[in-house]
Order: sequence, then C-alpha cells, then structure tokens
Amino acid sequence: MIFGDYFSKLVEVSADQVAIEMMLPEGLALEGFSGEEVSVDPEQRLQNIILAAGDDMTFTARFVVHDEAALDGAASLKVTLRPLSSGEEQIIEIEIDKFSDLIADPGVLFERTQLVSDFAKYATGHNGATRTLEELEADLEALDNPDWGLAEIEGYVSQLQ
Amino acid sequence: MNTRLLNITSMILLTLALGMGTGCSMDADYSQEASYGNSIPPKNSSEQVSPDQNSAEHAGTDGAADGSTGENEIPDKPEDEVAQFWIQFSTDDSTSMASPQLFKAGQYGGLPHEFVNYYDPPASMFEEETWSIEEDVNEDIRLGLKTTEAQTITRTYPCGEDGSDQGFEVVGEQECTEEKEVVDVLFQMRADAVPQSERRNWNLFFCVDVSGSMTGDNLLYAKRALEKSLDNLKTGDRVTMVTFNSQAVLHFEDLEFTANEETIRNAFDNLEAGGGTDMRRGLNLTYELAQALYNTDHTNRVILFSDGAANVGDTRIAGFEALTRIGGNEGIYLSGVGVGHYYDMERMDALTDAGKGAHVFLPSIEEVD
Repeated sequence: MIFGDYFSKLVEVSADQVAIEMMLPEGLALEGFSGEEVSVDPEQRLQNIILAAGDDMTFTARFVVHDEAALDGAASLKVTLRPLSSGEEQIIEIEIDKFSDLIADPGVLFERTQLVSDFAKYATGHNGATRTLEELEADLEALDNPDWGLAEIEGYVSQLQ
Repeated sequence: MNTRLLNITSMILLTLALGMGTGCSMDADYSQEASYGNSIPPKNSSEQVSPDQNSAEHAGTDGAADGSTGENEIPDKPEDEVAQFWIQFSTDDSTSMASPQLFKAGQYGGLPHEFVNYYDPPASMFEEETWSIEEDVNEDIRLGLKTTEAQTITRTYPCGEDGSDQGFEVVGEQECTEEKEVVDVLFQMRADAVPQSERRNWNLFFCVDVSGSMTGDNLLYAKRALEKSLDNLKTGDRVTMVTFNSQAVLHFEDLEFTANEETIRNAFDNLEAGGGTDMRRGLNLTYELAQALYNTDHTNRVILFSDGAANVGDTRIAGFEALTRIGGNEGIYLSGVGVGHYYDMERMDALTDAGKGAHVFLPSIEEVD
C-alpha cells in the first residue's frame, strides 16, 4: 500500500513548520493525549512538524477538571504553519470566550479517533485508554459499517485479550 | 494575599522539582502531580513571570525581607477572570506510522500515536463531525476543534501500596478506584490531496542501503518498492540514486522521468547487497547531490531505504539535522523507509525527525503494493 496510492504522502508536503498551541483555563490538567509530545513551557517549544497533502493531523486530549470555574474560563487556539503553496508563514488565532463554548456532541470522527487511540494504547502497552479492552471489543463489534481501519483493528483486538 | 499566584508558584516549584517543565514524551504517564505542570503562566500575559521571579513574589507575599507585605506589588486578579496556561501539542508528522506496521508484523510495543496516523480516518469524516470551531486555513487546508461535555468517569487500576498507578507493569498487587470529571478535546487539521496532474514536479533522491544486512528479503522489498514508486511519477520528475555500504556510490543523477525510465529501472534491478553499513557516508553524498541539484520549482525529497543498522563510520544522529538544510533554512526533507522486521526504528525515527519527514516500514511485499 505504501508505494501505491500512499506514496505521494511521503513526498507531497502541504504545509511545514506546523505548530499547534492552545491557551487553556487553569483548573484543567492534561491526563492523556493521542499525539506524540506535549510541552507546557513556552521556552521549550516542540519541533515543528509537517502536514502531508491528502493527509491529516488528528488528536484527542483528555483533561481532568479540577476546578469547575475552568469551564467558564477563556481559551484560545493558535496554529502556525507555512503552506507550501504560498511559502508564507500563516498564523491562525482563534479566541474562545468560554471553554464550554467548545462543547459539541461527539461525532463519528471523535468516536473513531478514540477507538483507534484506545486500541493503540493496548497494542503498545501504554496506559491511558478511555475504555477497557472488553469495552473496546464490544464497541468495535457494534459498528454497522466499519471502514477498513476499524475493521482491521476489530480483528486484532481479539488477539490482545 | 493573592492565593492564585501562591498556587501558581507552588505548582511551578513542583513542576521544576519533577522536571516536567519541558516537552514531555507521550510515553510518560500523566500523573496528577505532573499534570499540574500545566500551571506555568502564559507567555504573552501581563501575569507572565519566570519561575524565579514568581518565587520572589511568593516570598514577598509571605513577608519579604524588606518587611513589605507585597500586597501593593502584586495586583489581585479580577474574581471573574480565570488564569490560563500555555500548551503545545505535537501529533508527530502526519505520515509517521511504523509502529502499527510493526505490530501487524508481530512486534509488540511502539508508539501509540502512529496508529492514529496509520489508521487514517476517511476524509469525509471532517465534514460529518460537528465542530465548535471550523476554519478554512486556505483553499487546501481546514481545521476543526471541539470538546465533549464534562463527564464523570470511574477508573479501576492496579496500584501499589501507596495507591500509585502501576500501569501494566505490576498487576494483581491491589486495585484502586478513582472518580474524576474529564473533558475530551478533538482537533483535526486536514490537507486536500493534490492530483498528480496538478502537483509540482518531484526531484527525488533515493539513498539505498545495500550493506550485508540487506541481503535477501530486505533488498527484495527495497527493489520492489523502488520499482513501484515509479508508478507515482509523471513526466518531468527527476530522480537520483545513491547506494551505500561501507562506501557511498552514485548510480545516476538528475535523470528525467519518463525519458530515462528504462535506465532507472535497470539500475534498481541490478542492486546487490554486501559489506558494512556507513549510513552517514550515504546520506552525506545524497545530501551533497540534493543541495547541488536543488530545484526551487520542484518538490525536493530524500528517501532513505535502510534497515537502519549503521555499524561503520559515524553512526551518531546528532549533527545530521544540518545536512537537511539549505543555507540554514528548511530545505530538503527526508522520508525514511525501514526495511525488514528488525530495522532500527529508533534510529529511523530520529533521522526523519531531524529531516522533518516521516518514516514507514516495509515488512513484506504486501506492504509495498
């Protein structure tokens, strides 16, 4: 598959120098993250990354709410990137009056990302899955028309039991 | 006394004591204490202070040496304003995905986030998701952000006598239960695919390991992958190939596709393996050529095929990053193709991180196609 349709993702960069930052209300504490690295020190920034054409950067992050007031606190998202179509750095800054304004019902992408991330935790021996292995298996079995990825994962989950 | 600042100070001191003030690998657990490292003040806030400054202010509020209370020096925060903390996320480059391939090949372990890259969600899911924030970055790139409602969850986990989470390492000592309120954040940034007819021409530099460890299946997979990659090229693309074992050898340079397709295929077909592995020598020669043949109108990319088992010459990764730059600027990205079941994943990951690219894994002919 890699040297078929996938190959262009190895070569085609849509944007580089990608950095994803947020300002979040105190009272939230990061507990888990489905990506690679996190920094909480502006003086210790992470290496910028690339976004391939035809590809995505997707992550879920779980925060423990230590202070209910945090849900009413302001937040912001800042994404810096350099689309190679223009070669110019672009900064997207979005202010959010209240963290709770971000609330929306979980959709198919959210559910899928959680399923894949939970499976990955078990497959690699890491903590932090949001459900037990039995729950993961049941949730995968309950899917009506799983895409190829979820169908493949369903096959592997039983091997992890 | 400004209790919020006092709390911040305490948390920062705790953070420093735990050494959690820097980028954290996601392999680490997020213990309760560690997560309080989030409380570092925002970088652009009027409240921003360095840990040292904050410590000094803390001392002042408790009764500084000059006898002042410090109350006039530290303005109280409005009651209705919640302080913020800064956080940066790295999802890893969008195409890094060797870990699930290793898992499928029977090797347990690896990096969980690469599964999210490998099991790529269908593009249509961006449209199907209900986003709270949805933004067109430009005509090719979109992003979305949302959170779930806060929910209370109960977790049971194996724990030590002191209640500490023992994870998967020690099971059966005793079980602990905790209840907590959580919110889940979802973020996605998606780039449209570029049709082959519309993309810029490519300027590819293949750097192929032909050392003794590549003998047999590994070289077979690499040759098949090289041949298969040509299916993705179009007229006007350019190709250069260097191989390395104890020496680095230039096989051809700057050949235009499709005019030289037969020459390129023959060179792939004639590759033979043997000797030691001086990867640094191979990469040095490849990047020398890539810099000399750099084409501003093309997408320039080095693609390394190797089992990663460097054992001759300079085997360090440190310093490699400079090779990928043009005059100190970002320039020629490196993609890595790990060949065979026992390739050195850590080395390939470190190399491609330094080269700002991604790495994939070739455990079988099936994965090539």
